[in-house]
Amino acid sequence: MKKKDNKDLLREVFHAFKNNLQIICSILYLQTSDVKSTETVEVLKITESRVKTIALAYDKLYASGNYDIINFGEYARDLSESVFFLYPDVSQKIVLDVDIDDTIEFDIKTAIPCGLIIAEVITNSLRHAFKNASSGNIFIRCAVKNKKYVLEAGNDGIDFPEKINMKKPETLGLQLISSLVSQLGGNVSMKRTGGTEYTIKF
Amino acid sequence: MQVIKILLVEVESIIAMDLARRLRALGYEVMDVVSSGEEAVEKARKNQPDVVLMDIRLSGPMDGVQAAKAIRSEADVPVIYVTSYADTATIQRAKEAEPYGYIIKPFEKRNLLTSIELALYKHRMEKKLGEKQLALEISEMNLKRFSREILSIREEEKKKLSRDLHDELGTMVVALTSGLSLAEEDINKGKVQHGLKMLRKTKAQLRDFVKKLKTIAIDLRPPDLDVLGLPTVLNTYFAKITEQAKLDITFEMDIDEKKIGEDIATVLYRVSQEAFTNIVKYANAGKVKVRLFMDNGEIKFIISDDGKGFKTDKMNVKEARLNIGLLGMQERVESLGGKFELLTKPGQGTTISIVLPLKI
Repeated sequence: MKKKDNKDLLREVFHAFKNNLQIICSILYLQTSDVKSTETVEVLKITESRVKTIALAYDKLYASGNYDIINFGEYARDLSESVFFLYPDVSQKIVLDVDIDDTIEFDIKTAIPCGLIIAEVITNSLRHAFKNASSGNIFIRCAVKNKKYVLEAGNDGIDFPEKINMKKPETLGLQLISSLVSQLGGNVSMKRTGGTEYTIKF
Repeated sequence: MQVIKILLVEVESIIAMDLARRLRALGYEVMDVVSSGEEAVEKARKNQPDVVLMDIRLSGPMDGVQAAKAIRSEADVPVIYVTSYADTATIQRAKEAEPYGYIIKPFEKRNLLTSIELALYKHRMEKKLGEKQLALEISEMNLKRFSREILSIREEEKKKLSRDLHDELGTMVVALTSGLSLAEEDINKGKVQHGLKMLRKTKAQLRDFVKKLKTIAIDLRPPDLDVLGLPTVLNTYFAKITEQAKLDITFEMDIDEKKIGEDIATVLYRVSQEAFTNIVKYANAGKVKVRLFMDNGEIKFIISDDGKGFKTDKMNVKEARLNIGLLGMQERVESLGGKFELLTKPGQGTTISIVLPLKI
């Protein structure tokens, strides 16, 4: 058999990888029709969305032509939109604003944790912050300040329950955010003034 | 509304299950799921789906791009790619088959919906555009045929003019010249009475000559409508036709002549000429009725004959000339903001009805 050159090989591996991510998403989706509790359906939906967030990063990586840099603005906008429409009933009342400095480029090791954090914040906001609300805002911002990346993500909905401790979070969503931030070597702070806002510096 | 039928072409059965379930939830019908390009082409041709969702990597020798090309040329069904390939080279190659959409895996439910609806819309528009293009080509063909006809009519008119000038006027001039010569000879020989008789004869011939010259000139350009007025001009014209074509023409006019502007008079005269040319040439009519009157503040002009009539929908080549005449009338009338109507059926005569607004 003729030896394929590295570029073709990479393409094939990449394609197989993406296809397998699709299969995982498909299994998660198909599973939803086999479970009874709405909570389980919800968990499956969120999990599928997290896998898609990862898959999207590889799309951006591959589309860029060079295989180590991702335009973070493009990635963040696409994934935010994708997550935003997970809850169409809520999202149609809410305005999503993604404002990312277009010069920011990350490698895949930074882009995916950031992407997952954004996805968690948007998912949490849609699920908890706008109960009975007729309108509201979700915002994602990222810029460079004092030689550090500053990622701000939050909403102007219902205040977060006071008892939550970012140092020792109880829900998986918050645990994910906390551990992803430390993976990035940064720190996170949370404000609760007319909504919830996370500020992550790294 | 009819349910949209979708053909799925996907190797991975789990992904196919996922797609099929989502599509059904969106209200579409999944008519078949196949995994090779060959099957896809065959199913598309046989079952005529509304849309094909196609992966690029397939089982079998044919890939999705080749299958999409074949489906496009053989079945004219819009194809949307659903694939994990996101690299520019593959997208470029996929574009060759003019896809109607490109969905990258993992897909979103709303992407499926918008891509399918967009593809259906685009395909419908293209079909419509194709039909319009065809109509345009046909009318262009007609235009060419008409312009050929117009050219040959012009040639014929030139021939007639040259015939009139040469055959009739030329012969008359020869007769005049010889008459004058004969008179001159007679007078020289002292046969004055004889010479004077000859001159009188020649004078009468000269009058005929001038009359003929006038007829030709009138044929060539509109007579002085503003000097003679439309009723006189039309009456003269109808009298001429009655004599030449043995037609029984009745002309009724119930309108204040002063209300008819010069441009309207010209159009009515030209329409009459065109209509009577057709009647004489094609209609084989015995009686023609012409009416000019006011109705609801508008001028109405109706010419109806009892001839053989014709089919308006299908005209053969011989009748194309008649058609040009009709078009010409219509254009003249519409240029003044009027309405032109033609009522005819084989065996039931022909009626041309014109409504013109009064000049303000």
